[in-house]
Amino acid sequence: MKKPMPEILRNVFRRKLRTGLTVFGITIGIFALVVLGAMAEKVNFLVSGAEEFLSQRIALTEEGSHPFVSTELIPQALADRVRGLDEVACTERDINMLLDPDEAFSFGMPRMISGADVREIEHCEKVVPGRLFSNVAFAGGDWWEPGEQRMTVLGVDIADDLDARVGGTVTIRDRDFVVSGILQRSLTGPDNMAFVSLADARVFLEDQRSIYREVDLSDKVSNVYVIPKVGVDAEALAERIQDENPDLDILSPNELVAPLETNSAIFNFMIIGVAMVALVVGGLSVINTMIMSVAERVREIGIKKAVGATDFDILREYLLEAAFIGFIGGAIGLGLGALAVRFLNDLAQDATGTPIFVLTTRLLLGSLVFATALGTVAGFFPSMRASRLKPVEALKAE
Amino acid sequence: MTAVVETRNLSKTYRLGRNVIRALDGVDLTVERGEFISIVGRSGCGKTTLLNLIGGLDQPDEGDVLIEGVDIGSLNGSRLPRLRRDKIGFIFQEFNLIPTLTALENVELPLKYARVSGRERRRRAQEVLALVGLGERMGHRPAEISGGEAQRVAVARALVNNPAVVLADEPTGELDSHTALDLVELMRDLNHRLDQTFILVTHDPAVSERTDRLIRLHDGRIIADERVAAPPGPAVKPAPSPDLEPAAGLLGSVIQAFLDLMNPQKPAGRD
Repeated sequence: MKKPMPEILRNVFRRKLRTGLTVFGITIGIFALVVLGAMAEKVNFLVSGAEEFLSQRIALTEEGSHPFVSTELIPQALADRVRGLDEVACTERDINMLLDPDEAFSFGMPRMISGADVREIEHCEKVVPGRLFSNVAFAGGDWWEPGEQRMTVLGVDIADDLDARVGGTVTIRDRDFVVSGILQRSLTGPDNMAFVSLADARVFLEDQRSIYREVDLSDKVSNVYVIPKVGVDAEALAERIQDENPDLDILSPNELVAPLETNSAIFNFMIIGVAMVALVVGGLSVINTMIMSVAERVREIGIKKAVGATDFDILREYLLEAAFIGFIGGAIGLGLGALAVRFLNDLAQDATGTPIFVLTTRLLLGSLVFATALGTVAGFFPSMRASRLKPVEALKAE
Repeated sequence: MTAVVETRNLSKTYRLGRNVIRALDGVDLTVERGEFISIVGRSGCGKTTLLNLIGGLDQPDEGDVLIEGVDIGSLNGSRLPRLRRDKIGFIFQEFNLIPTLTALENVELPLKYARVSGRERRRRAQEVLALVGLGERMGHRPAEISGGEAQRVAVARALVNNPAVVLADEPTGELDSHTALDLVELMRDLNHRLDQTFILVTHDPAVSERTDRLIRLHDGRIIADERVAAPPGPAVKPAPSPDLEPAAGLLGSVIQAFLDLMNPQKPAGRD
């Protein structure tokens, strides 16, 4: 005899349309959860990468705005003021600008050019190992040699976009560069960055604004970062530097990270919002379906109790059924959501060069667990009712 | 030896609007192992109530029910369902099979709740189905079999846990007279061969006259408790019925196997 479907499946498929609609309700919720969740995950990655980057840095500025949004230039000599401090491991300067000056808006982080000093990076890497670019490893090539110009290290998304390979030539803002290295995918900021020397970055600045051609840029940078030694309380150090340099605006790691966390929180609240919609829509339809199912099967419940089912046996059967409905809705929503994310990512990659969704295992598993738990919780009240029916009354039901 | 069923001063009232209906009024009843009993009386006399109380489906207002000496009123939590599962077999007027389950699965149900393993469950259910003559139709769902067959499935389900007593509430009520007699003969046969205790509630004299002991209820009291003079046995030879034929063929060998399985230490039958 061929193995028949388990009873729980047969019960679920007894009312195909009704079950289908309930599953559909959960599917929609989970679909939305997966798509928006994948978007939020992208932001989370960006933010956590940036947090990691900033968490060991103190920024020296003159104007008090956040280095990630500042377009002002500051004198690099600011670094001299702190270099003598015992707690300071090293300093870093950079010059940041949009890769494409016309790019008005981009999801997450726009593509950037970052002017950097290789000597500083390598020195910092030596004195504070693993702290600075722990999420940035080379897929091929390496940094250019100190003093070299017209060399670049590319993040993976930009490298893909420009069809770059190590040793090849790419054009950045109408100037040719030799690719000295390509970074591995980090799912965060550097994926979208092209690193060049500070000198090359200054040339770009002069290309971009006539005003920059009239001043000496050779001692100007976007940011000066102080990197404390391992074990030093960066917050306390930032406070001390601020006290000693009242004319500067010193941003401690916490202050640097705070606005990013707001950003991340907004997206996470968005997910929570969608989850709540899924919860209400999916949950109510599961409750409704299970109440109907229990009402239809009152007599069956009586029979089962008469032949020896305990309250717990009945509760378990109906909870499993509700959990199963949630699970199926979750699985379908997950599949559709994953497909949609892939499709949209391809579109986004073509349009902007950057994927805007990241499907993570925790998001996928979380959605499935959420859907199943939703079914179970929503099924609890009807299942409780089923399990508490009195056998003699249940048997009288039509 | 302890009685299989004993009721002491069993009383139950129902409230219907303003009227209080005394369904049972001090019923004392003792049933010994292997008895084949019918409870008769007009509708509303308390027959079904009595059966439900004996089976622990309902609670009395007063009095006690003892199953093999255990006062079921003292059982709480899951102990009452467990007693139903292990000691009581139910047969209902409307068959009460689960429509989504096959005949075999319906019979397996009590074993499932007794946490018997799948393979053992299947084996025992198949044996009992063969015993009631449905060896061939166990893959069918209730909607695909006749009323007579459905009630045999119910009999098999009631027997599968080797209960102390089978309680049958108007088991022939939905069957035509011919099929009804077949069913009673089947139960009688099982009573004889397995020493299985049966209590039947019926209002059909053709059924009650085939039992050994007849209890007459009136307004919730026992007004008569008598031996049935000459149980007619299979005197009224039923015309060949498609329902019964497989049973007749299989009964001999299968019943012996079933007996050996269930009562290894007892001699087969009581005669």
